[in-house]
Amino acid sequence: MTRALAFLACLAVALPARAQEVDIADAAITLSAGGRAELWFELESGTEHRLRFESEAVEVDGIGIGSYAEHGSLESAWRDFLREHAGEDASSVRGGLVEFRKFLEEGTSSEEAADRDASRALAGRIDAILGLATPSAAGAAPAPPAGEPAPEIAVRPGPMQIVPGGLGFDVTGELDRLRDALGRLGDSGEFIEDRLAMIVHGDYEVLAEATIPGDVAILDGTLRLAGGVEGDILVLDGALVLDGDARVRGDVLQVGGEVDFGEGASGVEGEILSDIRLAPPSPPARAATEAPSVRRVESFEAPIQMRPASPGLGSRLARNFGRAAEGVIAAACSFIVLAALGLLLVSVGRRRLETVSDTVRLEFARSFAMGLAGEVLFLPVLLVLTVLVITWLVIPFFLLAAGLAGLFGYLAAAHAGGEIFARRRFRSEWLERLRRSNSYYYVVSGLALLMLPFAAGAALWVFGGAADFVRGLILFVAGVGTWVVVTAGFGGVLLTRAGGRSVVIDWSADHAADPPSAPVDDA
Amino acid sequence: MTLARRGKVRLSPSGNALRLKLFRFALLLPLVLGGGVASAEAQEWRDFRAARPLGDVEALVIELMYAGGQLDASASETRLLYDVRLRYDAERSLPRRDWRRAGRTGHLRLTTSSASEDWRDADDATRFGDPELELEDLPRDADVAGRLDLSLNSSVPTDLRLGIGAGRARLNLGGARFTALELITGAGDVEIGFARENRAAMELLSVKSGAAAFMAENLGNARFRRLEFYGFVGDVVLDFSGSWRSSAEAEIRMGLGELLMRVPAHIGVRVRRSGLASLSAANFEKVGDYWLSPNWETARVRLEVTLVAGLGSVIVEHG
Repeated sequence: MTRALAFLACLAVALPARAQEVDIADAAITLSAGGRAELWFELESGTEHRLRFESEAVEVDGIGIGSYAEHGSLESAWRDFLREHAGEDASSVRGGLVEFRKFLEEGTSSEEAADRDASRALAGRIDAILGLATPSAAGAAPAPPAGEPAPEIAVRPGPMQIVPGGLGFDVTGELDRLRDALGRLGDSGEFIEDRLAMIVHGDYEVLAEATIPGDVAILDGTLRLAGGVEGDILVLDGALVLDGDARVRGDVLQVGGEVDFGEGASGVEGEILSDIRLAPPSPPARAATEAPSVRRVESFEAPIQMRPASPGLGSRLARNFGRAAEGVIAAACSFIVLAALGLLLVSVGRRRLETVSDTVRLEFARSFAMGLAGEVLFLPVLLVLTVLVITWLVIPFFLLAAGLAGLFGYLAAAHAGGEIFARRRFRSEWLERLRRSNSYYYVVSGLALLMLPFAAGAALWVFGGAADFVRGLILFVAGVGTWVVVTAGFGGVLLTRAGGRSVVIDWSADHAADPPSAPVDDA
Repeated sequence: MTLARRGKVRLSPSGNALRLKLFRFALLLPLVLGGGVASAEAQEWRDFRAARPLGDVEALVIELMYAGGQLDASASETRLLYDVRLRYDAERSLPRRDWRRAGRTGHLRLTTSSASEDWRDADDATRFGDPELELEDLPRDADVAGRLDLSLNSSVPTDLRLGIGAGRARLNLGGARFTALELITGAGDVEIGFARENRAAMELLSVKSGAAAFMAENLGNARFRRLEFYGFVGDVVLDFSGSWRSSAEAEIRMGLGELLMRVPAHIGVRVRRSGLASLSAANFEKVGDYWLSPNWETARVRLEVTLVAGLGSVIVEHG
């Protein structure tokens, strides 16, 4: 985007409704070797202003209002004014500025178009800043002929005059804001380049007889509209006040600031569109949010204890014993159920049970690896069965078979554990009496060994929270052990095809000639 | 020119088409319901307003698609053709306003679309003036804290199409000059009322209600010639009170829920019912496939109802 767009712009008309002259409280003049010629001054109201000529551009308060011809009459007059008043007091500077303002009025007849336009614009700004009343709108009207009475000085400016292009406004930021705003309102953006006639910085009034032949953008300040606007009005900030007779041929677009339609909304021929960001909701009152932490003493009665009553030792012990008994009973019940199943299995499938048990006992690592592989493959197989619609009927049988295999393997592993226990020699006679050598005994004793850690962990509830860590450790080990046993048993079931064949190598026999991998199928 | 006159609104969809619609309702309802719940995220609340002076517009067609929140609509006698004020969360949705003119008829379309989608891409000129509103047309991402106020000029013949995704809607439409009204709601609590008589005869009053509590009051003031009500799930109250000027017909199709119809005593009512829902109509006489009010033969103004109700109950209060 070009930094200096040529606008059909005019600031010449705009004057405060009630001009009041103001004095300068302080001033400073800068004439640099680089070509800058600047006047800074502060009004009595405290407002600061800066008029600068530099690089053929005239700026007021940092905003470009026009350009001047290098070494032309305008630049020469400005530099002369600055040189004459450098180092003088503020009142002298003000007087010089007023004189320079008169020169500007005469300078509008300059042959240089740039000087002429800049003179008009600068005169309008000086008038606005110093509250000077102008004999005509921005000095545009010709001076009255000599001898005729001077015209009445108008407090308000005359009809708006549109100064044709050439003014080098640097309004890059404003244009971006304009485009953003128009985009939000769904406008194509043609508003800017083609039709913009006035950018409002400050307070202006368009009188009833005046008409702005294009679009108006209000960036700040207030535009009181009693006359007409041929195009749209876009309010970014500031305010738009429509008087009763105001006429807007286009739309009124508002993305910020305020619009007071008064009774003038009927004068808008286009659409009234606005999109305003609301102020974020104020945070909740501090007192409200922090009220719970603030305590007020409203009486001197005894405070109510909100802390739950601490149980006594007896009730704690009773509760702990209850929990321990609950866990031990649960383990015992599990043992009874599993033992019943194991005994039933021994009675109806002893040979198969012993085959699996021997496999787990003698080929534990192999069984565990097989069981682990089976567990890993369980979900993919189930997924495949689910995806292949035709296999849906198989799924219940698959799940049932997997469950039974796991249970069978667990009981077989318990059998193996019982057998290992039974073959050990104990020094204690009491333990020796317990030793038996049949499958019923193996299953029951193996299950008892597997259930014992759970019962022990539950029994530790007797000590309450003091044994939390030990109890947790025992239960964890018991859980992991149970998983290992189930996996190995499951693997044994898979390896032996549910005990249908033996894969155990009998190293004690003299079968050196036989290949070790050849299983003996005794099914 | 009204929607009905242009033939853009189907007055009597076939049964198959209706079943298909109800099926699509069922499929899309969870989307609407799911999208209708606002969460407490970062918010940027904005006020949007679009208003236009009367000018020389002689007829107005408004299509308003509102994701949800609170909606109030009313008629006024100001110099404005319309005045739409919307409070919305810019983090969730963006308003989009289109205005076009065809001769002396103005078309206003206002939608609130999800902030995530680029509304410029959503600018599909062919959608302007779609023949029918469907549930999938409803915008989502409703924010219950948002609100929309719609004010319409009571002197300009207006066709209003209103889609409400979710939320509460209070439509006080009395005193306007509606020539057609089409309303579709996704989920929420919707009330429409004609406290004052509609200033023009309404060719079609069409309501499609998803899962909502729907209440219509003083429908007799709407001056409709045909009412189409399609309700999917919910409790519905249709109050036909008002100053009837001429007879009318109503086609009411309910999926699941309760329907209460209140009809003034001086209106002759004939109901043709089908479906599984029970019908309770005190003092009505069953003649063939019809249920007739006692004054059916003698009434100057009659309401002929075609009722298809799936499951639920229908109660007709006459008098």
